Amino acid sequence: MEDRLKKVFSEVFDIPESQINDDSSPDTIEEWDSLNHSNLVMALEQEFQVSFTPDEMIEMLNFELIKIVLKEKTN
Amino acid sequence: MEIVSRAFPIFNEILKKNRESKKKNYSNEIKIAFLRNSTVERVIPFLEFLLFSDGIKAVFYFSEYENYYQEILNPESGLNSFKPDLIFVSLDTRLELEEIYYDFNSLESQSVQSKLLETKNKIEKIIDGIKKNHQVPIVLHGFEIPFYPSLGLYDSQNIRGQLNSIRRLNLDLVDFCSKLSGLYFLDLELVLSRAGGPAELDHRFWYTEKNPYSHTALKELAKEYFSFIQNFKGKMKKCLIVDLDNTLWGGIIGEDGFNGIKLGNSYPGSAFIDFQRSILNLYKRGIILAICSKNNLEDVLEVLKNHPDMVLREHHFAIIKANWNNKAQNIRDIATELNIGLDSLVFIDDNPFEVNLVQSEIPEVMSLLLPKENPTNYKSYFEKLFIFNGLTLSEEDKNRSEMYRQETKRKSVQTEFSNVDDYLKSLEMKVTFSINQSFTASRVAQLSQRTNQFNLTTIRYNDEDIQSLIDSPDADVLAVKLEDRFGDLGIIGAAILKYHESSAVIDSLMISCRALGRGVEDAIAAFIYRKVYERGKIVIQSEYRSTNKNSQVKNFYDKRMFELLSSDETFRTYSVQTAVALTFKIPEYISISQE
Repeated sequence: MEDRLKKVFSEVFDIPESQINDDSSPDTIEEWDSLNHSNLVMALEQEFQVSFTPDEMIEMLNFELIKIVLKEKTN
Repeated sequence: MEIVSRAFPIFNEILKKNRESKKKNYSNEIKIAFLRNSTVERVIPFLEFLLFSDGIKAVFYFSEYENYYQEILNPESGLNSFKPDLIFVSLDTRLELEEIYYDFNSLESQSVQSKLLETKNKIEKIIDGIKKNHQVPIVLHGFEIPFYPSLGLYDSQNIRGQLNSIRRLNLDLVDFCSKLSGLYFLDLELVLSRAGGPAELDHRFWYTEKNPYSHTALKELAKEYFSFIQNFKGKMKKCLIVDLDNTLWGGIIGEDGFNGIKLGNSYPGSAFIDFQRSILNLYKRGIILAICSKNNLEDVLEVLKNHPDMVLREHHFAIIKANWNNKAQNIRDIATELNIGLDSLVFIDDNPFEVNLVQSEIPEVMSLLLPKENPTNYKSYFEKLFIFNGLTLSEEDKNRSEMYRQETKRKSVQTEFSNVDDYLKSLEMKVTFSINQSFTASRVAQLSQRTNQFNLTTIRYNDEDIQSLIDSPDADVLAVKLEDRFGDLGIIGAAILKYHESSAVIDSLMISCRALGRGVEDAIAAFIYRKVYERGKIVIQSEYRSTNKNSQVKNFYDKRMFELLSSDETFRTYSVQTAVALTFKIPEYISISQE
């Protein structure tokens, strides 16, 4: 799952997968603005066939948190 | 094989492809501005994806959320320095009609009316303001209706209910748009219902991002934007080439016979009839129809002429290729005979082999595979591809196919004459020039958008540009009408002349392909020279600007009295003394008049 997640990150933010780690967040990724955040949400929903609640959407503000939310949803 | 469905890939693929496309070079660019009060940016990935696939690169500008009106008025504003080619005005219903949308049941009828009027006036003021600074097309969004109105079932019974109040405002806006040239209406209610209505709102993004739409809705909206842009860019398809067996009727005429094919009032024949009806609608809108079918011509003509349930008849088709030749070759021949570009053709067939063949041999042609297993879907499959989505409808459009058919007749008569002059004389051509007539404006604009081959400068104008040239004392807009003994070809050419103190410049000169090769271009040139003389200008200047489609007119001015002043690969300038130009003769076999 982590690989697919990195792929989505890399496609949404246009950065190499090697630059993505658990701490990646709007502070470390310049392209992660509010518009790209909603793009990220949509891309994740389509890639993983899940749906996020608005609270989850707002909380998903680094790579690790997103991993946790996704694990809960896909298990 | 993959059928053309214009389907979008998964979202991260879209983002990735757009990034890759952005790195390439495009000759075709467009600057699009959004005047908005909500986060319209969410639609952009889908719109960019469609535009890139059509070879267009777009640059976007988004107004401020609150102060868009100041932006319109201030000449130094971001909007005005962006110099857009196209402006979308998108005001979200929830914000703009907040009380009507959320608190309808608390409002007095009077205050509903005054709120509607206030919004209408505000929009008219916005459009007025834009028009002062920009002479570019404007697309105005209509408002959404609430899918579950506040008065429940009762609301629909009531002309002043919530739904119908918003609808009435939309109708007023349609009326407003139809009265101003260069202003168009985008029916948001329609676009959202195509997307699936209420399911296609995604409220999460309204409350977090100020944009209420799901991706399905955004895709439909992007398609609608794309259709508008194709129209403004003059990239519309012009001709539909259809297969026959299992396309216009069920079964195979060569095997099942005249009485065996499926066409009639019961399933499956009824589905084919409805498909033919939607094709007939295209014909009535100016799309040229042609047939490309592997069959014996006699069998085909028998059905076209005599089958009681056929909707489309022989006279609806400009060209009928019913033979056993390779379909790619037939389609090339159709393009040559109609004298239109391969990229303006659409081909539909139920046979994957044929569609594949045409797609690989002539990728410029849009080739579509019909879902043969389900003919009841032919009509909707085809409509959903939004291929023929024209924004205008002129008299010429309504008669276009008929005109192309006359042209095929002319060509067959031509073989009866041993020399060309005798043939041209037999046509009894009459050319009529309309000068600065407002009723020609939209057709002249259309010609400037659509004409690619015989077009000296390929400057694209919209209706409004032409109208302001007509009104200007320093320009003449000439619309050229052609008639002959086979019929009226309508306005087939146009020229725009701009005047300086002692000289005239031929800014634009274009002629529709179907009027070429019969001396009309000489009549137009000679007429222009006379017009300049009447205006008292001593010198005439002209230009040739090369595109990848207009090489046939490269030497046009050299052959018509002009002297070449400068020349490089893409641009030539010419000049001639008016007195010298006047010696150029109108062909004897053409009679001309002016109105």
